[in-house]
Amino acid sequence: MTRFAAPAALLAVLYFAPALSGPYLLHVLVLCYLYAIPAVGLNLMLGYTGLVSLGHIAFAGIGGYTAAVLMVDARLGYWSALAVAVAAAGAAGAAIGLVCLRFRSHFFMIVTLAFGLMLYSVMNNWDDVTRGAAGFPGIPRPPAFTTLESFYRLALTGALAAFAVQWLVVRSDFGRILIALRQDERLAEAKGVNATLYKTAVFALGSALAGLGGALQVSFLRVAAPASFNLAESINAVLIVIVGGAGSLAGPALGALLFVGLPEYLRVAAEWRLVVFGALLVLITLFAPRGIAGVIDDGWRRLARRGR
Amino acid sequence: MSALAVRALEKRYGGLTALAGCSFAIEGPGIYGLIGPNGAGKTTLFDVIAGATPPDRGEVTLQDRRVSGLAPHRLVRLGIARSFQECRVFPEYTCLENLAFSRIALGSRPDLQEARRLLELVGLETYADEPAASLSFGQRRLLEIVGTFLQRPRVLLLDEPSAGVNPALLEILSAFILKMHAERPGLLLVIEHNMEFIMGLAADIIVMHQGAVLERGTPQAIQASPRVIEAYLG
Repeated sequence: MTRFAAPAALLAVLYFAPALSGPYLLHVLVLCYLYAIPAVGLNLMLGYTGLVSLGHIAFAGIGGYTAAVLMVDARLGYWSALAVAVAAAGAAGAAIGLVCLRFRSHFFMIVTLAFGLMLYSVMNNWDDVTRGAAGFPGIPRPPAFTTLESFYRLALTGALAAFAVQWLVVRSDFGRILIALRQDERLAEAKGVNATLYKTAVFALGSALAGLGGALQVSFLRVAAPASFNLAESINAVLIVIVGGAGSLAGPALGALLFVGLPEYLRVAAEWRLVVFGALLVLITLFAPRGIAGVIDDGWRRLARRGR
Repeated sequence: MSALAVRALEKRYGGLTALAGCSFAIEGPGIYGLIGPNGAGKTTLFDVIAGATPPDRGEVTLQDRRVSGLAPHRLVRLGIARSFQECRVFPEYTCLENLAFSRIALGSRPDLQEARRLLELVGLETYADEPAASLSFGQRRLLEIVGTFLQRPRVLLLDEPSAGVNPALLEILSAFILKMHAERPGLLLVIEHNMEFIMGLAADIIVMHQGAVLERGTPQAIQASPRVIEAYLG
């Protein structure tokens, strides 16, 4: 029971945060959640399966723009539009993943980067549909979640759903196969794993989660802007996953918290964020390859051993 | 009908000819040795049979059904399993998880009781919950080979199982292979350089040289063959 006590307490605090804190903190937390959702998707790909995608956030863009077009132009109901946006990002992930997965290691990274740039250019230039560089305004929030406090709960629920999906995947045979693929793909194939099928599936799932994050983000900001889904944001997602702890359940949450929270706390400009994160990345690859989650895990184990 | 046959296999890597018309047929269950000097094409032959690489020409048949060109995961489902010359295990998985994966990858429930029994047979039971990375090379080799048997293959390809294994573990390995074969007879094809080891396992030995079969026969006949001696010394 004690295993669940701490997460339950944390959940209660997070859900009641609107009653305890001002709008500024809530706003920052919503951004954390919105960064964490695509990061969970990338963690499944990069952390568990070993697929380093440099175009991940472009799939958040597919989710965001699909939601925008469906909600504003097609006047579809909010929740159906959200569901279609998630499915569209997942389908795009499956199709593009199938192409990218013909390549390995750094070639795979380059191809994902190229697809990310292509998708960004479409968002930036297809004026008739995406409204181009100026952004797509007038995206609604769902009926019962128009205030900051209520949207906070929606974003938190979305993030929790993403983490629940991650937890279920990692504990399943599907997850065990993904982890095996990361460790030794040739051996996994020799054991009977259809590597292309599983890697395409995780690419689709990761992209669908990115799509969920993107759709919620444009709805929170009430505007979809191409700059939210550019190469820099895809790199940020990789940094969040690696700094937080690739291949750990809590990694994306810790990474997103640090990535959004630290600059706010330190009152540094967004441009400095990359400098700080770059330095952190170097330190982490040198001294803590399992990220912040790994550092916490090791510290906890050491404490537990001393306690005994 | 033959359980496993290769016909006129050819495989080139750039200017290097790894297989040059390799043909043989194996009728049924048993332990067969595959020997030959370095560069004879033995591992390439395994890669072709297991689907890791397609042949340029020729075919592989399993129970007279053509299987060459199929992907490794399809071949595993047809009953072909293999070990690797360089020894492959999942380093982060524990011994037990490694063995469970032999069933999980096929979409079936792992038989942990059976896995523990086999770990005991090779003396690794105390390492059941240790990550494979913490084992010595010889122990990893034992784990790898136990894992191939848990795939319950009809055709098992072992690529130099004795390489890098110390004499004490080698005896365990040899006894294990014989015991597993007695419990569930299948077709074992074993690449070896260690003559003593392979002579103790196989009664029928295929000798490869320059990408083709040079000789085939009992260990005694092979050791007495002038062509084999010349291939090794020349």
